[in-house]
Amino acid sequence: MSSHREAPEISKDPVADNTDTYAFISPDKPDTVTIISNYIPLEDPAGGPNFFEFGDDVLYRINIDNNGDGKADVAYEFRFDTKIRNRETFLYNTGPITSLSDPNFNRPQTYTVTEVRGHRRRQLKRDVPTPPCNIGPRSTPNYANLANAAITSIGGGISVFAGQRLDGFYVDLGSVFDLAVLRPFQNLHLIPTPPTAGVNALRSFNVHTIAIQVPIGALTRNGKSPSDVFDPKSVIGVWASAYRQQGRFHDDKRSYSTGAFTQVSRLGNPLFNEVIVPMSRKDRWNRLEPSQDYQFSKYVAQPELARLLPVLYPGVFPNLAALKADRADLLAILLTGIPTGVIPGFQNFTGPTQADVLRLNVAVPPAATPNINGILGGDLAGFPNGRRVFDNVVTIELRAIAGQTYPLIDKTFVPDGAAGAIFDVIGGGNTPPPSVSYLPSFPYLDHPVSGYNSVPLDRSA
Amino acid sequence: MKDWSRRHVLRATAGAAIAVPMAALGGGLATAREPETAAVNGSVWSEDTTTDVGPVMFCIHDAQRGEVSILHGTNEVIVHDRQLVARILQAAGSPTSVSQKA
Repeated sequence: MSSHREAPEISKDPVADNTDTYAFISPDKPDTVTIISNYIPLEDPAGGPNFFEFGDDVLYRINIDNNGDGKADVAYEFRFDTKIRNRETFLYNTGPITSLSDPNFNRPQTYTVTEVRGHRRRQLKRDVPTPPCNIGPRSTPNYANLANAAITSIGGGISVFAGQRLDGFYVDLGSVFDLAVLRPFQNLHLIPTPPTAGVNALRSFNVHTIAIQVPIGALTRNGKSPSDVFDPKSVIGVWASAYRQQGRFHDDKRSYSTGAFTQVSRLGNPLFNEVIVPMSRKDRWNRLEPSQDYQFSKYVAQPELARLLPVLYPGVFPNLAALKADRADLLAILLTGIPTGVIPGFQNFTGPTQADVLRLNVAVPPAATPNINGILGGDLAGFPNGRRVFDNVVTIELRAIAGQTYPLIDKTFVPDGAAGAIFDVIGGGNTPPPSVSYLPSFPYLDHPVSGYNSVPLDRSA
Repeated sequence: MKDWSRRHVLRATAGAAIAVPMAALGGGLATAREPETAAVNGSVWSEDTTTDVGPVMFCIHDAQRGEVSILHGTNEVIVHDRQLVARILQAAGSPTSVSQKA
């Protein structure tokens, strides 16, 4: 998955487990950037009576680097606070929840947003409401209204939303982790099985989303909204991170956390920690900030998956098998940005500091007709220029690792035909799988599936 | 770095859940390690705090170095004090004291 349960330690701490991060020019408000970070992987919508919520003891943070050093110049922090309205019931709701202040909503959660610029901290808004989880037609009868009421303007042209959403990420998880099977050509695998269509393993699962929409000028180095794609100040780096206090104590009388906040999760580019970083170093990676990512560049330069594909698919990736040089294409895409002159009309280079961040060139306007394969599909407003909610990032990254982007730095290299034939889940075309859907406006990720209406996964096969 | 004096540390920890005999404290160095993110005030939550300064935790990761990590509020304070470590280990009933090894 993009980063769902991607490292041993954080897989045991779901409320702090960052599953996906997105950063894009808002298509309906092109003078703003929308940044989204999701937490709590694989929420079964029916998972009551203690439905999902953010961690009151977790510090959530969205980070923006606007000078290329891999350190945050601007950050937005989110701290949550949960109340119990009726302490004498086990119920999440004691009747239909018809508004965010409805007394039937027994476990409301609010949050505080703080802006950090260097050493300056400024609380932007407190007691911002979150919607309940989507329970079902009796408990949350008009869910869209409930959720939309939680979209909050906090001044300075900034809007925020925090709450449950349908997971917009799609991946054929069961296939990829079954020894890197790439449906539909699993019949060519070293251990072949009959061809079948791809499956979105995240269908009908929810996540918890923190979304913020910020004027472009609040994030750039010079406080302006640039129009020149080739101006270095047009590129920002974005990642999300989560922190827990160092000490946790529990006994029969008390329970508390104390000490400095220390990072336990982070996420910039999808799949970086998941499929690039070796398992023994994943927890370490989660504790570091992007400025330290030079330590992991060797795994980008010689990715394990690129060596595995020719072995697992005998004779299918001969050109990839012969490619021994360091992958300068992947180093650029994931760690430094793509410099001017590589892709006509585009750059998102942030300098020599190797850092895993989503690099968004804010001077590239939203695409009138987006291509879910992003830059590989000729759409300069898509991944890896930031990341939109519908971008087909698994296919894009699998194709890149399989060699399809290597001609960007070596015109003589001919990618294997199979590299361009990889279509994770969707089987081709420019449409996300039918199991996902999105909203045309903030927060762009769709309303969550309700517990009552969710369908248990098929146990067949 | 936050300039925490050793006296400040002792005042903050006095009466806390972990008993540290004041007489045991020799001349040590105290430094504060800033959190990786800026600290968030009031982030400690507790159903039953034991002191008016909030709960305080001590961690001794490496007794031989005489280093005590003190967690308080949203800060970590590092104290280098072999005598303090020895007294804590003694109070904890540790069969090995740092002073015997040092």
